[in-house]
Amino acid sequence: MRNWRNLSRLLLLILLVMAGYIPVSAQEVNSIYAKEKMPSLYLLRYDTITHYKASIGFSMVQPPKDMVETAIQAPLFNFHGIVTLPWKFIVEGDVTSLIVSNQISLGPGINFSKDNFGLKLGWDAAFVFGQLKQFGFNNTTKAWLQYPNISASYQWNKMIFTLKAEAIVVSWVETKTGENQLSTDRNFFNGYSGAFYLEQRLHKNKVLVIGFKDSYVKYYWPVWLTFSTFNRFYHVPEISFSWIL
Amino acid sequence: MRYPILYISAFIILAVSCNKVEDVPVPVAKDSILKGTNSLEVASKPLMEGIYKVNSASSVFGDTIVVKWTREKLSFACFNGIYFVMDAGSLNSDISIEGYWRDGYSDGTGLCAMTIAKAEGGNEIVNEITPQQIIMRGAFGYGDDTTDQTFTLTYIRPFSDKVKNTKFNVLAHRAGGRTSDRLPVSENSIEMINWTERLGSTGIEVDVRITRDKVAFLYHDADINIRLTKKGPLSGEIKAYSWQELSSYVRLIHGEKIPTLEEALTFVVDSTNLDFVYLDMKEDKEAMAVVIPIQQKMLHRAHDKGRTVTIVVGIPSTAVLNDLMTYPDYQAIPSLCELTIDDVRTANSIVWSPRWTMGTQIDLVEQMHSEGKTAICWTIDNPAWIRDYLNNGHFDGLLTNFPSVVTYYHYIQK
Repeated sequence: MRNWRNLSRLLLLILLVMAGYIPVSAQEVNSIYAKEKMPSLYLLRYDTITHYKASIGFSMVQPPKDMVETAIQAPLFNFHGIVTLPWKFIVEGDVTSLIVSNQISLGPGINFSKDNFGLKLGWDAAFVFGQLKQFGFNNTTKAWLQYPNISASYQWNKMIFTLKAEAIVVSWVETKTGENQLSTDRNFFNGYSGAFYLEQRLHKNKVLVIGFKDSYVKYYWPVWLTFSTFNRFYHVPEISFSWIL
Repeated sequence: MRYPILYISAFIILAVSCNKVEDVPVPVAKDSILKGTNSLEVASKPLMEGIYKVNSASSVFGDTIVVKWTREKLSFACFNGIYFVMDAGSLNSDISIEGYWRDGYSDGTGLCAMTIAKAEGGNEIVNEITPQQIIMRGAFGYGDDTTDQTFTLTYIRPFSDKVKNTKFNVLAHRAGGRTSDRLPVSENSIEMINWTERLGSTGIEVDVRITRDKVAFLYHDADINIRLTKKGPLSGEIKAYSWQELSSYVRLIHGEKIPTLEEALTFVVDSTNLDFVYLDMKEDKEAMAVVIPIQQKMLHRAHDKGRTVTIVVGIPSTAVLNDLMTYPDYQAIPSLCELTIDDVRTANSIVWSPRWTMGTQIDLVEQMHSEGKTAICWTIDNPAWIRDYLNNGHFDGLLTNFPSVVTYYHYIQK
């Protein structure tokens, strides 16, 4: 019986030692990669303040078939920039354009990172504007949107995985054809989106970012020209490719 | 695996690349209150039509509802795009009404069951006497579940003389409804033509294309795609195929066959009360030579059956106008012109149809009226604009994706 107890204590001791050893060795391995501080838009681990990081890219969107029908689909071009500030604050800006539909967003955020993990909270305010002459009329749109968002990142080897969620609130939207105001609305919950981003260093400091995003929204600003009158939510899948500059 | 990012991306793309039809199912009552009831006589039905006040559910349906028989269905139209499709029957002078409601702008739907008691108008209606009052009492619900929200409709007045004495065209797009409206039938199908009157439509617009072997058929897009059709062996430009190929291999999104123009017009003439068909020409080269003989044949068919049906070939572009002008005696062909009023005169079109965003254009509409022509504007969907065009415009009809809203604002007029 005593031998049995001693054996149990010995096994427990071994387990405790192993349990302590595993995280220590994982930390050691991860810290090797963390030290590399791979350029990233989501896992920000900069020692210096006012560090600037930017990317350019494009995204392919599958707009709701109900809205676009046979309309031509085109890629959305995107420029994204982040500036780190003292006390973990950041400012993030974004320009997305389809020529006839454009969005400029800017907003503050706060960023926490430790070793290979990162957490970012932000609130972006966006202005949407678009214009197209069609059937002899000057069609225009303007809108203000709010994007409160949260993202969590983890670096594994030479890849960074990020999950991002954002809510979408339309503060104000107006669409006009000539002098006719086709639609106007304000202060409604427009939906939310979830995204998964992969960042991988391909060569030297060149990092490719591939994103998969699903927006679940009523008003989808890039396709404002379809003048949709539906009042229902749609899934809008999006695949994006960008390079960190 | 040097670049796992590429493999992970490919996997995610494959995982999300499926496609499915999104529908709003029509709710069906499990235990029908119409069991054992008798159909209403033809003379009884108009006695139920009119404007009703909504009690206790006005936040959902508005303050008033237009109630109108549309062929075999009793339809209710609301200001906000909600409509009801109901059946009715009588038993011992009580009238039972049952069906469903649907929000045309969203996916909201549910069951509805109502009763007009013998003492609240049922007796007079069944005996074909103008009732002193009509009160419909009942309830509605959400989805296929029970009807647990009680509400009452109280008859206010019949349709005004202005409404009764004016011919107004409620034209529904794509043979009555679009795929995006999530109806249980496909756009530009015979099944949709059969469906659309319950939404309040009095006429339809259909999209006309021509096959490689010169058969006119209904289809909107230029290509075969999974928005409009089930997945099949054919793809690419639809006009590149013969009718035999399309008929054999292509099914519309809800499984229907693509109809030929002749099949569709025959159905309109023989099996509906629709009295206006706008043939929206999607081809501009030698299409009129195919379409006009069918139009003429169907006009004669309607005449022989004692029906007044207007069937017009559409002129949406100068190219189509030029195609029409190659046809012998083209000015005798009933047509609808979307271009300028000078083009209307050139083609001697019987209908001028400007885009709605051009405004109400009262002067030009009156000019057309003075020349004996009709004016119908396209395609107006916003309820506020529909109200304004009906209240302030002089058009003889509106082409719309929401015929129930046009129905409401037309019939509510005093």
